[in-house]
Amino acid sequence: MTEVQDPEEGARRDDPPAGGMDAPEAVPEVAPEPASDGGRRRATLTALAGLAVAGAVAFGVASLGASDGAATPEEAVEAFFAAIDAEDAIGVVESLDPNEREILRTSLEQTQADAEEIEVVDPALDLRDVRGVELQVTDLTMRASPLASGVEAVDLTGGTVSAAADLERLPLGSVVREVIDRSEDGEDWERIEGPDDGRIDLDGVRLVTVQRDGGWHVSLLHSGAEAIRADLDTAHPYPTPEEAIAPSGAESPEAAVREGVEAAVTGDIARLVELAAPGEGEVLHTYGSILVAEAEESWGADGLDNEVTELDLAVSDGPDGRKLVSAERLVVTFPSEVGTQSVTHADDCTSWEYTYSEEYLDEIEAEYGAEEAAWYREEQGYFLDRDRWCDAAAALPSQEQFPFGVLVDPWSSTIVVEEHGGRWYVSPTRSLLESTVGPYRGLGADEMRRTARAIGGEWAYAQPDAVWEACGLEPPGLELSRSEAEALANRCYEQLPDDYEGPFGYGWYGSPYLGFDDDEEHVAIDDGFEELPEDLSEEPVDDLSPPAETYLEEENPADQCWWPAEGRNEATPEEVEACLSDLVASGQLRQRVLDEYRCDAIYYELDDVPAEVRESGSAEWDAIYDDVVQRSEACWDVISDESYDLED
Amino acid sequence: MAAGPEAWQVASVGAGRVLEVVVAVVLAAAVAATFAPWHRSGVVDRSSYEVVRSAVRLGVLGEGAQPAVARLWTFVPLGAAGALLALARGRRRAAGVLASLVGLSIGALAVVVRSVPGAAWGASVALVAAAGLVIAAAAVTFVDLEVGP
Repeated sequence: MTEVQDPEEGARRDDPPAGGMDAPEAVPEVAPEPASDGGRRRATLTALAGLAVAGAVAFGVASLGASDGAATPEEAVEAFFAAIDAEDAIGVVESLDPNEREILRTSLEQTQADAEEIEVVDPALDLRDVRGVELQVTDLTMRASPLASGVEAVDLTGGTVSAAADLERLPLGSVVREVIDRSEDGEDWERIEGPDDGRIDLDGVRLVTVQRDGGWHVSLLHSGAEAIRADLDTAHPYPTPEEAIAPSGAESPEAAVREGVEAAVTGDIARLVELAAPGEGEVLHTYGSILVAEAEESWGADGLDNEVTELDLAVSDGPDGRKLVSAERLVVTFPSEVGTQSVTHADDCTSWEYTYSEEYLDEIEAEYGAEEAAWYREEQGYFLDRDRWCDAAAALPSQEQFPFGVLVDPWSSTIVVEEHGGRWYVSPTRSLLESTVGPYRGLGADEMRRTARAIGGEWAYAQPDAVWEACGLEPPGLELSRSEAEALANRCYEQLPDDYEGPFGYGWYGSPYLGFDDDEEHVAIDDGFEELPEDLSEEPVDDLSPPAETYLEEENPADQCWWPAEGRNEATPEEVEACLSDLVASGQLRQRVLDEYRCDAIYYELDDVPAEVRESGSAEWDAIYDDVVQRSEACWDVISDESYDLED
Repeated sequence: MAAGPEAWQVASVGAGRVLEVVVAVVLAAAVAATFAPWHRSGVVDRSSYEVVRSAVRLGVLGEGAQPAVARLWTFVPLGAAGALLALARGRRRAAGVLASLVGLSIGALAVVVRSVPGAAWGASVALVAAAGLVIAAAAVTFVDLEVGP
């Protein structure tokens, strides 16, 4: 019987083959070559394998010990731009400060997922290789200078980034493609390219690099903060480590936001900076002392007199153990010279209330009489419930229709907080992202399509339901063409009740096509290019557009100076000035009009500055710009002087 | 007699050597494939080692054990070299086990990377080589063949 050979034994020869032969007899004759040759061969192979092992160990150790980051600040910047030049998104992110990588990666991936869901980008979008975008970095030169230990500024002294985009190849989703197709100048979108298109001159750009675990990385947040520091009116030196504001969190997610809101409202910048999450908020902590100094310069060391009078917060779970905190009800009071303003955010609406102080009302009475003062008293809270930003269910177009709703209505923001060492901190970048992109999350594709059309300039889709309800028409459906939707909107404006004050209550100015005639009735203004299809109107649609002359101001003789008769779009500044001078000389125009033009025309000198200087943001450009501003302001000072009119 | 014990043993020794050579060659091919382009970002190709390094640095693998395990990827060539050394020393079972582990590791990562947008040809080649390596390693581990001195 054959014994099962142990492969570990390798060349053991005492096993008989199948069939049960006497192994000892067979073995000596089987060896095909002398044992010494086999031994030498095996020794050679062993030596070679040993070399391979040594090489592999060296490779492994070297790879494992390789520093994350570049050897010098200059190399970090070179790696950053090399990755841009290669359109290597991974390389770009890898060259960044590790603190910023995760923020960027998670933000991009979340934004991509959201954008795909609402069909703004193509599902085939790969952030690692965005089709249709070509970038090229050339002639990069730089100079590094230390800011602090482990922080160096790299000033670019030359180089350009050229960008070209092929719209056809860009991974745009159906929603965006539709907006382009429906745009009036869609043909101009076909190819955005050219040697000068998207060309950025890098000379004068300062990037900040930071050292982490021995390797140097580009820090975008530091670079942004450094750019702001350089642009401040008051010169601040780079903050020393001793000046940095140490992070100090709150006891709970709710407490972090409550303290943050209090600090923001009262101008306690130091506390706001303290609440920024460690790592992500490092830049804020480093530059925080400058922010505090600037704030004190603006409103004094005691902060602002504003007060948070009510604050009810709702906390929900976010990704990766983070919490999302938003205000269910928030009331903030701002004292002013004439009384107080208060902003109330509740039920997804934000409203403002203005209240006049008794002192101010007394002044009104003393100056304008009791009747005027009584009117002011009656109008206490005049704007209450009339100056509101709301969600889709209320009067305004949904806040989602504004790409940056957080800027319009910061009170509705969602704040992201995270835990570090048992304390809770605010995540500034995630909060910003959540409050800008977050509102779009959950929108259906159709709602996003309406939003995109509104953003693309189709105002018919931007009108709130309340307007359509007031005019008795159904909002435009998605099947309508651009001109059909505009015609429908014009009909709606025409049919609005004469006393309709709009969804905000203080007058309705929501449409570029809406105007008032001599009788102060709502009318649609014919903007001169849209055709109003008859099938959308029960009456001849042309009747909707009143004669254009109803809305034109009295003809101004100076108009002819800006619009020469040769069919050109506009006259040169020299031609305008000559034309105005002739009109003044002939007595058709007041000297003041010409002088005002001359004060404004000083700015045209900026057009003569070479593009490379204008776009460089250099000291030379700043000097030229400041000179122009000063001369224009001096000119205006002259004609604003009371004695001027007497002379005139 | 057509095929006696001696002939069988000669054939067994030959097949054993061939199998060892096959394992060594496929092992080398699989390891070589790990240095080929596995992923493309923009116009930049990354080998498997660069892919893993980038994944760790970018935090794709999260925190904790995963990045630590991923860092061991850099020792795949060492595993392969160890398998070759075991073969050279006649330790076929040890060589087979090591080669299998190397093949399984390369195959597993290749499958993951191939599922990611931007995967390059190196991952596909590595997957094929890894499959061959696992089969050859299993053979050298479990099949009863002589290999001579």
